[in-house]
Amino acid sequence: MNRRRLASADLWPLLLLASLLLAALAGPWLAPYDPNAQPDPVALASQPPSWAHPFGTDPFSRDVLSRVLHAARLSLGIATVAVAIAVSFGALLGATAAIAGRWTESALMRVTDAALAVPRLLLLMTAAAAFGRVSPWMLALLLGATGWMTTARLVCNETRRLLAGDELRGARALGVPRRRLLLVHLLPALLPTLGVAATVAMAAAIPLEAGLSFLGLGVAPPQPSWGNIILEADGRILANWWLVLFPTLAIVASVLATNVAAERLATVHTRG
Amino acid sequence: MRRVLLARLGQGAIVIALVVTIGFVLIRLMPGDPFVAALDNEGVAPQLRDQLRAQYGFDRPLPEQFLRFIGQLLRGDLGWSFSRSQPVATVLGDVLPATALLMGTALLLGGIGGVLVGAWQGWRGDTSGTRWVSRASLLLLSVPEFVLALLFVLGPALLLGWFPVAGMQSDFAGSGLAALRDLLHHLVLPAGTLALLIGAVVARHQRRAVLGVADAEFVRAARAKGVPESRVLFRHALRNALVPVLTLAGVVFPALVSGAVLVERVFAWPGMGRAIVEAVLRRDYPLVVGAVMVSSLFVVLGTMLADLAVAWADPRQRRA
Amino acid sequence: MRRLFPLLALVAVLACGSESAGGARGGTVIIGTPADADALLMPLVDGVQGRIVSELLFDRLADIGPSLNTVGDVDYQPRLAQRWTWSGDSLAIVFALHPEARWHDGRPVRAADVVLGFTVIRDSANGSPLNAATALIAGVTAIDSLAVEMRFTRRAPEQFHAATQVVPLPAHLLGAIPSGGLRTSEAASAPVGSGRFKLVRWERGARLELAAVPDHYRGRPKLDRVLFSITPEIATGMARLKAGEIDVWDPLPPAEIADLVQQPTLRVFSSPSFDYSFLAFNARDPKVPTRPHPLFADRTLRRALTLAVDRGTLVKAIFDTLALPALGPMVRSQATADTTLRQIPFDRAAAAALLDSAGWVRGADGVRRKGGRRLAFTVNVPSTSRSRERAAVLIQEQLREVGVAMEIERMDFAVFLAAQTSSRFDAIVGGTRTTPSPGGLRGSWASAAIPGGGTQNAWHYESAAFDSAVAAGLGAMDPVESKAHLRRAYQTIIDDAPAIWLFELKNVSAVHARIVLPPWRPDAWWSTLGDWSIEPSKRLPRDATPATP
Repeated sequence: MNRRRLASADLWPLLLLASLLLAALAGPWLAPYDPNAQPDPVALASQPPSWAHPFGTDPFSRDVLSRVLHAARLSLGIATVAVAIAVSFGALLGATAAIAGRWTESALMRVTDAALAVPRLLLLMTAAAAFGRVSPWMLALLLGATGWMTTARLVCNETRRLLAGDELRGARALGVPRRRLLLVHLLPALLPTLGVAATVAMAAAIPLEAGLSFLGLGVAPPQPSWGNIILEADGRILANWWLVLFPTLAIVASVLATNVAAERLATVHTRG
Repeated sequence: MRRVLLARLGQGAIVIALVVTIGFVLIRLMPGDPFVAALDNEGVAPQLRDQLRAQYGFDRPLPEQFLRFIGQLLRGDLGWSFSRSQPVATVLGDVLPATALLMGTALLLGGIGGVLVGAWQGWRGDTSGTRWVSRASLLLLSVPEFVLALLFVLGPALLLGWFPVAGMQSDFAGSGLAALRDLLHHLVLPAGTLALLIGAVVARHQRRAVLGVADAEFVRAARAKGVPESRVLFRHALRNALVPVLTLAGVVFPALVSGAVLVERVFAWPGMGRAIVEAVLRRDYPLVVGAVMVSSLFVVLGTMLADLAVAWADPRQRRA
Repeated sequence: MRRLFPLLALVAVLACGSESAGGARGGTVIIGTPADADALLMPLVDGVQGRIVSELLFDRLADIGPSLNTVGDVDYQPRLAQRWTWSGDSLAIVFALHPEARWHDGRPVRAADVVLGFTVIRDSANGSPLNAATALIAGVTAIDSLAVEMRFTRRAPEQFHAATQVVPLPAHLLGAIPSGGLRTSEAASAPVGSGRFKLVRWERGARLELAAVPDHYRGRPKLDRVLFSITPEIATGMARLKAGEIDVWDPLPPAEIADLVQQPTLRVFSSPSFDYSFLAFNARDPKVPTRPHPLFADRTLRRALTLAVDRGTLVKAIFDTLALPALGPMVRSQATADTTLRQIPFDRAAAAALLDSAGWVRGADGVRRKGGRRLAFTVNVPSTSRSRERAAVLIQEQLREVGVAMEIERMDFAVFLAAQTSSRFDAIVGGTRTTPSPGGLRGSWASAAIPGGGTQNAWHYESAAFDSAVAAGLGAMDPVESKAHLRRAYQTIIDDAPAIWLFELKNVSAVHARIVLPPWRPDAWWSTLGDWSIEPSKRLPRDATPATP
């Protein structure tokens, strides 16, 4: 394989992801209008894209570009927090299982299997129904609480492999204290796996949040999220195409970038 | 083989027990009790609520409730759905065939299609053709299910009018062959949406797996013996490369159920996904939890079957 | 969007003209509906879909006539009751049942069936929504197999209307079901009725098929069958309507009308509606109903919030010309409605000034505060109504401009209704379907303390001045006097602002052009379905399909 092409191919998804995150952070300053302002709900409602409103307006005359930008912050923010929760909990559980071994490991892994068997969207919908209206923080927490299983599995396998490997066995033979062993030797060695787990979790969290909002169970109005902007099209996707197209592009771009990043990380990791 | 089977069954039983426990915990987590949302209005007498609570054992201590819950499950009693005024088991029994048809078709089409595409990609190696297919499958993986479903509604159904927009059958589908044709006509778009998504996942793993065995020793040996290339691919390489794809089941099945919820919503497919969305919106907790448990059991069983298939396909595991 | 409305007005005029309702027997009408029926036994029905189907399956003792006059009995037409006689003191009515009336299983309709109909409404274990509407009735007893006596607690102008709310039920099938078991019984999902259509199949969430009863005492319907096709996704429903897969949709969502008017296969027309919508404030604390609401017990605050909402723009944005700003708890088609009442205008500056003077000061987040309390509340909206949801989003932004934080909670209609009836809300975007009679005013807005009144006053509006004016208006037998009292009642409630009166809808319906319609009854169009017909030359293939066995 051509090395140079590989390098440039490695770079674009990360660049794309970085610029999306940047847009998310800077969204409020980039947005030309207040995302909730309804300047004229009679004359300016549901306008197709124009110079004044490059992404058009929604049925309340709100500027879709501003809403998509603000939504980036919310949608990506929720996904990021969710991933942080999921990866830290999953890693803790996976590593604990692998280090403890024996029946603790098989018990924890069976719990993981059971949690994996429950379809995540259903679990989230159930929780959303139970809590009524969910705040963005709650949504992030729920997404995190239902997303740790993949990480737990990955980390458990990797830890087991590392524990059996020469480096850790050597360190243990040298009498390195247990805590130091875990922090200095195991944790850095786990980092690539955590990177893979984080990107995989991210690629799953973004569409889930959008799907929940699309079902009307996610972010509450008037706060914009990519999913609920699509919902505003009200099923009339032909007449209101701009309400579907632009948030969709944002979702697809961010998931695509994360997926590619995940794949590259995995390849680099297994190769190295 | 028998030992593998027993071990898998044992593990499956443990997982099922855990799923059932999760179901029970979910019911308990709901605000108030399942009767609040359905019966809490002035028109309903407090005695009726108490009577139902007693009937379903909600006035008993938790451990006893759990035992009752298990007992009812064993008898196939999943509780009472308030939004539909029917037993939960009846509601799920009504919608399950539609979902099974949708998911079965999608799994079959997506699985076979994905394996073939992935095998072709892996076998041909890095050409511009395979690279484009790779990009396309990655793009597909990045499109949320509901967006893909909306696009299918927009194009083939609304703009071109080739397929019905929604539902599973026409109001007057006729009978026999006409009914079957009508059903298949309705099935194309929703099953196609899910099949594409499954196909994309499977193809990506299959490609990698075939790449892995493409220059394995037994393949080279087969080639050296003069076995035709297509035969090498199908008889030797593919069978071994199927193993990692089968292990995907644990990931694909839950994703399939979640995907079906959204796809059924968009296409108004009268299956379990649509029943769940409605139940959630109506706070019909017994139906929600029943549906979650049934779909989880489906996932566990599916994964177990896939594991057994792995044991069959992979001689190394068969001996273990 | 704007260009279509002159056209629509034209169609409306056409539709009003009565057509000769001749035509041969046969044909199928498919009615599109966004939700399944909640129940099929009339006393258990809550939602409009259940009401439509149950009113086709069951006949009443007598039904309201085309004039829609609910006072007295002059405009009522006999149904299961062939005739009726009043007692000398007007406190009892004896109904003589039609001797040829039969249940769908062939058994005759008898006096015991009327008694059961009343027992089911009164049994609190059934939670019947008709309990309030029949509050005037003291008891029902069978005199012989074809005569039944209904006694009343007192005289009232709408006494007979209450009597018609008691619907005979088949005692030979339902009589043995124990109290509380009716809702979950087999008979409740496969009811045997007395109407001109009988149930053929009910595939929950998908379709509901009714067929003509051939030997009905009121004559066989012209149609062979009626099918309700349940299509929860509005966009899908509209696509099927355009494709001719659905014949009837009522009411049409406002956003879809422009598109459908241009469809040659459809007749789109408007009719007066009896719906008005409002944003009601709960005057009591939703958690402790004995305590006043921390915000909305204050009349000044309610008036200030009303001042801040631009109802004209709101109605135009959602409905264009298909709705009018509501005048109060009334609709313009009621004879007692009054367009000259003093309204609270839209005046953002005045709203801000009023809030300032009441001590509500803007905080750092732009939301007003008083003594550590934010001027923030939650409004409940049913997820089934796009227009109410959109109204909430528009109001949310208008209130934000004056420093009020309103959060929107979307909920399924059943959940919304449960929260409403139990008064567990700060505010709701509610809607009421009134009748031509102003009597509904008492149920929705009078103090719960009045006998027979205030049963749906979940928002706890309490005003002695309003109560007495309503009582005087509804009790007066002279129309001019009645109107003067009601005018006083309307002005009182508008000034007190227990709700922001949002809009009064025009009803727009679409019916397939091949169907010949009798005059459209705006409050219950389905009541004439037995007289709809389809010319043999215009029939579609499905009109000839034999009924499902």
